[in-house]
Amino acid sequence: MLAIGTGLLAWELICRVGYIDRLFLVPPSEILQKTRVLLARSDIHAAFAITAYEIMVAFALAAGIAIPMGLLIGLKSKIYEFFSPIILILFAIPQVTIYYLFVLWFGIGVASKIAFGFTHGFFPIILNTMAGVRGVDPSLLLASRSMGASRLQLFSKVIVPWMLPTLITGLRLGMNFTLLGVFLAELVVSQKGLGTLIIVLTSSFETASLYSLVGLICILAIVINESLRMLEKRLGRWRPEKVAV
Amino acid sequence: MLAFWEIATAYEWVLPALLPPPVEVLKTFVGLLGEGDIYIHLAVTLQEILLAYLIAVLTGTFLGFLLGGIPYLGDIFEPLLVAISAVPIVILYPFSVLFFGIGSGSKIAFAALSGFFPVVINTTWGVRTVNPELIKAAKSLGARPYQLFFKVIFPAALPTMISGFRIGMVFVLLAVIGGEFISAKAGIGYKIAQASDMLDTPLLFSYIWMVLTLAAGINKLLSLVERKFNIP
Repeated sequence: MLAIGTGLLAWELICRVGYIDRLFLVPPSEILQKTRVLLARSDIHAAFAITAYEIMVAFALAAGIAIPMGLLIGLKSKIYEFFSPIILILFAIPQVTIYYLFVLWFGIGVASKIAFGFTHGFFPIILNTMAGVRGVDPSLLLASRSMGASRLQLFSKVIVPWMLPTLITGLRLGMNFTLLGVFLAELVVSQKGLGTLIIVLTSSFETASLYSLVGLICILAIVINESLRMLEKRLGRWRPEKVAV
Repeated sequence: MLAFWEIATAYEWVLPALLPPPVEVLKTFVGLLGEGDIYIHLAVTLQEILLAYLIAVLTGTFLGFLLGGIPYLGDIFEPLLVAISAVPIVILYPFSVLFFGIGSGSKIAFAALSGFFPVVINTTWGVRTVNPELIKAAKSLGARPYQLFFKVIFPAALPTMISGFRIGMVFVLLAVIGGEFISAKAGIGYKIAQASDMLDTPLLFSYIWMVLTLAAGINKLLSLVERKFNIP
């Protein structure tokens, strides 16, 4: 806290002294002031609503399709061996390179952003679902089977609780990637939304507003991420700790 | 899959403007390799990737060891770094252009920042989770600080670090191509954006093919390095 405070103070002082061009670095006090102005503007509200809508639909689609697919693939070893390399290769493609295809197929409106956000969010979720299912301790499965658990019980009482934290990690990463996809798409080609607004502010050199808008988006992303991380920790408390970035 | 692609395009089940037949892509690709122009762009992109990666790995590893080695600093900054890494970093790209111009500098800075987070987070994590028994044992056997570092902490943290390096590389590649795609003067991403604007799909697919080859090559190289260090 102290470090952040000192940093902010130094930032403010550097700007006030006036060594740096206002075009590049704006004092925090001015950014704060601009934030208040921004929050009151109705076009910001509209842009925010559109971007939030795109993110939510893209994320819901990604989760809704990736989780069942991941379960299916993860539960059957044969399917897993066939699909997991394909999924990994597809995940490795830098998707910006094919953004143009998204635009051709879905237009420059909301639909292409949703599609692009979906393809970004899909992979972390499906990979983590698969990993979660396959990571179940085999001795637990053996024990519950030998005590006569049915397949349904095995799934709902052993596999699901075990994989839940990993799944939440996947959802969290998926959310991060969806955000990335949607903002990337909006920055490249779009008509509406927060990404478009960033471009507009950049090209009109409204640096203070740019800082405050980007800052707001950052805070939003951090809040979403941290709340999912807390959920992840809560659900996984009983399990030995695992690495997850 | 390639055969299916060829048949699907030959019968025009999909518009050729959306998905060109693979033979045509191959022709364009070979034609592209004959031009001198593409090597310049390839060199620009490669240089950006290499420099950005170097910066990301060096600063990330250094800071990671610092944060991992000093628990007080680690407690403060690790959660902060993890939180910041959630930000869709592409929204910071305009700042990079603002500070470093439209040339290579902005891509390098932007990509280095993207690659920095996985490296620093994994290094910190790797150092912090070194088995304390190992450290205690080495200390009680009289290891000096530098011995402790090079013989115990570094090897123990290496697997986690390497996985951070790999994710970092993916992020750097993504950021360089993405940055070039959004605004640039040269590079493969720039050529992709150009081909997109002209709706020249065979050309576009040739460039995409090139990026994929690049990504696969780098990936292969990294896994070779991993194997050399005997990391599963």
